[in-house]
Amino acid sequence: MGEMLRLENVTKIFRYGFLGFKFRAVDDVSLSLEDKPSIFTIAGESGSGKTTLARLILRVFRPDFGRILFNGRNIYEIGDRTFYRNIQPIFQDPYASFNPMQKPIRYLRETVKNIVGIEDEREIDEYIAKTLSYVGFDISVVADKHQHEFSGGELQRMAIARALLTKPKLIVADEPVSMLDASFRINIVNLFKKIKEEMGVSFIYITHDLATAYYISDYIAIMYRGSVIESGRSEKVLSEPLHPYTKTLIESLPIPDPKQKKLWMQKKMAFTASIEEAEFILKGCRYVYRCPYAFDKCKTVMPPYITINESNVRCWLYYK
Amino acid sequence: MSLNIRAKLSKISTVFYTLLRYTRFRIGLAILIVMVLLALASLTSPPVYRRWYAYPKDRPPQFNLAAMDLLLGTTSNGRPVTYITINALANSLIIGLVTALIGSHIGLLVGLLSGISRGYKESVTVLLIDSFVCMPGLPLLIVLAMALKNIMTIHTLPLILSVIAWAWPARNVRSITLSVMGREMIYLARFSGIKFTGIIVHEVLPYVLGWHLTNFINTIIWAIGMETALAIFGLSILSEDTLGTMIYWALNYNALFRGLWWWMLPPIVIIISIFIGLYFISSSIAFYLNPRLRGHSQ
Amino acid sequence: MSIGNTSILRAVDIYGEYVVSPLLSVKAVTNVILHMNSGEIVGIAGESGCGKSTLVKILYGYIEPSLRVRGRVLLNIDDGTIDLLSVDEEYKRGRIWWRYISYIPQNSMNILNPYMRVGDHFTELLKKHLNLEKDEAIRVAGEYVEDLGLRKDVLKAFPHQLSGGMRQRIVVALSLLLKPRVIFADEPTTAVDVVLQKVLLQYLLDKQKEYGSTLIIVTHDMSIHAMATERIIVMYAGHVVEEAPTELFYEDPKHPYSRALINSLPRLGDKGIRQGLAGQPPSLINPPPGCRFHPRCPYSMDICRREEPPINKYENGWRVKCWLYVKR
Repeated sequence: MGEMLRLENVTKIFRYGFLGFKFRAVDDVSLSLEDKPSIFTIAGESGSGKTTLARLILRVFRPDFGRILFNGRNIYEIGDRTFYRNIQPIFQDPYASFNPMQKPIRYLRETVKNIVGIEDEREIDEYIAKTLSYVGFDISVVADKHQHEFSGGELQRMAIARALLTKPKLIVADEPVSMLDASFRINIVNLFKKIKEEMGVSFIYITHDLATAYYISDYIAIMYRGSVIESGRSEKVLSEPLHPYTKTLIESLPIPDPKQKKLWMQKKMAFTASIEEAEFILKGCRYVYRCPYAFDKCKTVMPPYITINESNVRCWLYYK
Repeated sequence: MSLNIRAKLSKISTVFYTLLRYTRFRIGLAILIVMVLLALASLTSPPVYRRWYAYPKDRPPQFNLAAMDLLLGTTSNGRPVTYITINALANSLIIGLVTALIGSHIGLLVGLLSGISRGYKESVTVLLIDSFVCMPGLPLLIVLAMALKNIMTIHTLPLILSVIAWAWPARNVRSITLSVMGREMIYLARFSGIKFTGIIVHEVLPYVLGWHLTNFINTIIWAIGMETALAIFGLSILSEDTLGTMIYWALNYNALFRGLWWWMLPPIVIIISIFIGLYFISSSIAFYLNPRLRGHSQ
Repeated sequence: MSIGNTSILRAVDIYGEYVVSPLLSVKAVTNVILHMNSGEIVGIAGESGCGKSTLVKILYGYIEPSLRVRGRVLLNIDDGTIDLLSVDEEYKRGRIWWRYISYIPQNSMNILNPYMRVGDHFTELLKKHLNLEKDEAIRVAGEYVEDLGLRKDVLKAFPHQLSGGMRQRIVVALSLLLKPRVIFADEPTTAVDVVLQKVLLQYLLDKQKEYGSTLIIVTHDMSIHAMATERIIVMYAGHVVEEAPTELFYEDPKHPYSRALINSLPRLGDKGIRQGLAGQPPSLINPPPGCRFHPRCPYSMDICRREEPPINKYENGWRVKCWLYVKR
């Protein structure tokens, strides 16, 4: 089985101000996505670099080091049209992802015209109507609506429909449900699952919500301050976490079941007042300030990827 | 195509009607209309008003239907203040308008270019904009006006003013362009296969144009003020009537000291009204464009 | 401090609407009757735009100019009972807020005054409400902060010098400073990472237990309600649709909306198919007649479209506003 997407030691450096200090928003990330429909979650909290990673894959930012291969070719060597045909995005804020001064349908039409390559206007609309009905819309209803006449959930479905128009191999969804209500969130997530199974599209699903990640994803990578600290099959990583950070994350996740309340309350969390900026420029493991198991080596040397039970973990605890 | 234009026109008219709901905009528009009408009235002025001593000297204002020329009195040069004022108003408005046409459009172009370019091009344009923003305008204009005194007319003065006038609009346009270019909707447009120029025209420009309008109006205010400042130093076109030169001559003949208030007051009142009128219009447009401000209004 | 089933706060027939124009108003809260006992932890759940934040503001007695309110909010204080909606603003500011009831707003990390040192926020409250001298107030504040496990230096810092989590913790500490009897927390942990969320929540719950206060947590996150609250109130489109003891509620939510809410939650270790709700909440400018949930309800009947459902009462204070439970 080949690889669809491969990230090799991808690093992105940002700096504050003109001569400000530099930090690695994404640091030495290597991942690979196999060439069969699957959902790959990149999970992490705010400031973990997950959105930057998504934008690197989408060619919004260019990596400073390392490379990203799609079907074995560097994404910067692929022509625009081929790239856009194969990889499509879905963004976090449905209201910000459509221009409020234009009708959302315009972007669907443009996509078909420019990337799929249909010229005739009626054919374009027929083509769009098919995809729209797949996500539960009637083209005659949505065609004349302006952005503000849609609800957030509807706009997100429009965004999904637009992404599907090119029949992409991969959709990069950056926190696609975080702005939606919980009762609607699951509909979008279910739609992803359906698209994966019926249309054979792979997803990179970026989220901070481990519950939905567990629910839909096949693989998961947990990020912390720019580096992937644990990755593997999602059931494995989320039920038998290895890295101390993943463990803390899962322990602090509230569970929608009052029976678990006692257990959850018993596990106390320590409050650490460490500074994010300091963590970004650390030489060693970024989690060292918060880690209860930290020892000297953690502070100075970044741990390598260690494979245990098919999961990759970056922690000196597992180094033999 | 005509359908498209009609749609655009209807959009503009809805914006206009929304603006009309702001009291501030209505006041501003009313003042502006009065000013423009006064300026147009200058076309009726008899050529004789330009001559010195064609009328009696230092006459105070008098309301006399037989001699409407003397409505606002006369100057120490024996010229009627009424005609001087409306001609000065017209000339000042022309100076403001032409400066705004040149300056704010250069600003729009440079700002857009600076906002969309990356790397060294960006650095160069930013350096250019910022140095002109930082440069003290008046001293530079004084030097320029002294050097170019011989060729200065109502139509070339705006060119000189534009040397400074483009910088603030450029900076404004650049920051809006930058903020729009970083939004997710631009990425979405790109992934819809829309070409770079299409993105600029359809996604970025609509945001910039509203602000361009306020920049345009602000430049008019700035140019009229600047011309006045130059004139007070005696560096404007003293042979022509502008609001600035009117004040210059009034000062020169010690009008204030001699109690010739009717000579001094009209240009000041008119400058202040223009400023207030244009400022009200530009601020209500800015208010309309800024959703955060608009949200708080109701 | 009295603990037990003594009522501390009662809300009677609350209506709240935002006036948009003389002809238009958003009916954010309609016909709400509530009571809170001292020492209990109550959750108010519901999705965006259901009126839960407005309700909490009304219960707190903070009425924005555009908000028009009817009804009474009765609070028990030392010398009797007062109606928060009829006493004047000055009285609330000087005697009630912070002291008897306190409020932790949304995005609380951004509410500290950026020009004031953190310590001044504390001393100002102490000076105003307990009439302490400045030195005394500084000493008390210092002890209080140390008791929280923070260093005293925090008081000398300006808000921007602290991390977001730290600031949020300070705001929570500030609202608990005068040991209020009722604490309202409006989405206290929404903008926070899960680890910090747990830290803050545990801190809030510890203090609540220590002071015996009533804690009212407003959040859309059903997992937080499950972990923290004892009683839950579910709101939909301005109505309270269900009120129940939390533990029993999660086992068998009665209202179709509550059921949909619970069923839509994925959880770790469970890959079973979850279903969400179709459609969207109604506009509160022109709410639909009858039950406001009927357009999205899978069980909707004829009567749901015509008449507003009554409130059905069960044991343990369980109340449901739904026609399904009316015996006919």
